[in-house]
Amino acid sequence: MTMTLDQLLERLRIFSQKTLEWCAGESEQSTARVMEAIDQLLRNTARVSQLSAESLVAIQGLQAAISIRMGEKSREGLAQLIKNLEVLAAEHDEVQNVIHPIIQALQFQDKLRQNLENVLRMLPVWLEFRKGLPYQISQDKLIEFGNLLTKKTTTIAERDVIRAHIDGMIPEADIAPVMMF
Amino acid sequence: MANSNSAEKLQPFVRKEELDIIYLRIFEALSYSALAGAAACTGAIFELSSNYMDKPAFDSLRKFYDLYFAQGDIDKKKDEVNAAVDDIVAQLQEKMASGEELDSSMDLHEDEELKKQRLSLSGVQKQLEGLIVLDAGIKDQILPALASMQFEDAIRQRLSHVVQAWWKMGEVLHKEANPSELESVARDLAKMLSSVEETRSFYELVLNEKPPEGQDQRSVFIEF
Repeated sequence: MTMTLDQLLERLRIFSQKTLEWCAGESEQSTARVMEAIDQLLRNTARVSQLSAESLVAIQGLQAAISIRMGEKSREGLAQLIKNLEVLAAEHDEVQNVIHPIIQALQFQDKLRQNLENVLRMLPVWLEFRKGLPYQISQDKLIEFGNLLTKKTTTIAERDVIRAHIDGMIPEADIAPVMMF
Repeated sequence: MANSNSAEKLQPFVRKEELDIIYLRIFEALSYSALAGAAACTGAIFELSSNYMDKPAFDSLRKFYDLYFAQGDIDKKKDEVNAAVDDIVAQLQEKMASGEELDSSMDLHEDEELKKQRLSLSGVQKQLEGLIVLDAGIKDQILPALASMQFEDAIRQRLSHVVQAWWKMGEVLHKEANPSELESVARDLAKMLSSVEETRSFYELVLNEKPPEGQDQRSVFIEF
C-alpha cells in the first residue's frame, strides 16, 4: 500500500468524520437511557406511593412523550420536547427533580452533536487554507483564518475558544450588528 | 490569549507551522469541550437514577465513576500499575533464583499511590459486581447510569484518538515523508486504537485493508 500525503490526510479526515458521527449517534442513546431510568422510577413502589396521582400521571405522560420522540433526529423536535418538559416541570413541583435531569441530559445530547458537527466542519477549512501558504504568513492572514473557522461555529463559547487562540480577533460584543435594510 | 487591545503588539508574521499548531489546539479544545457535554449527560442520568436507586448501590456506582474518570490518562495509569506489578514479580523471581529468602523485611514496595489506585478501582468494581450478582434487580437500576458511563468512556477514547492522530499529522505535514514513511505513520496510528468498531473503521478507511487477526478483538475497558 502506498499513499501520498494528500491521500492520507483525506482518508484520516473521512475516518475522523465517521468517528465523530459515531460519537454523535451514541449520544442519541441518552434518550433511551433516560427512558430506562424513568421506567425504573415507575417500578420503585416506595417512591411511587409517595407521589400524588397527578404527578404519577405527569411522569407517565413524560415517558410517553419521550417515547414518541425516540429516534427523532431533528433539532426542532428535541427543542420542542425540552420545551414541553419545562412546562411540565413548572406545572408539577413534585416531579421537578425527575424532570430537571431529563431536560439537562437532552440538552447536553443536542449540544454534543452540534459541537462535534462543527469541529468536523473546521477540518477541511484548515486543510484547504494551509494549501499553498508560504513559510510565513501575516497576522492579518491568521485572523482571516480564525474568521473562517468562526463561520463554522454555532455558539459564542465555540467562537471564544477560537479567539482565545488567535490574537487580534474582534471580541463578540464589539462586532457591529449587520443592518440588512 | 487573544485581545483586541494587544493588536498593536502583535507579531507581524506567523510561521505556517505555528498556524497548524494554533489550529490543532483549537481542534483539541473544541473536541474536549464536546466531551464535557458527554460527562454532563452522565451527571444528569446519575441525578435521575438517585431518585430510585438503593443508596448503597448508588454510592458504589458513584465511587466507581469518580475513581474511573478522575485518573485522567486512564490507559497510561493502567499501564503504570501493570508495569509496577510486573516489576515486583520480576524482583521476587530474581531473589528466589539467587537463593535469597523472601520475608517481610525485603526492600520490595509498590509505589503507594499506584497501589492505592489499583486497589481502589478494582475494589469498587468488585463491590459493584458483587451487588449485581447478589441482586438482579440492582442491575436494572444501575443499567442506565452504567450505560451512560460506558458511553462517556467510549467517546472519551475515540475523541482522544482522533485528536492524537491529527497532532501526529501536524508533525508529518512539515516533513518530506515518502509513501513508505506515511504508511508507517498510519500503521503507528492504528496501534493506539482501542475498540473493535474503531479499529475496523481505521483499517478499512485509512489503510484500505482488513484489520489483522486479533486486532478486531479489542474492547472498551468498562465491562460488567
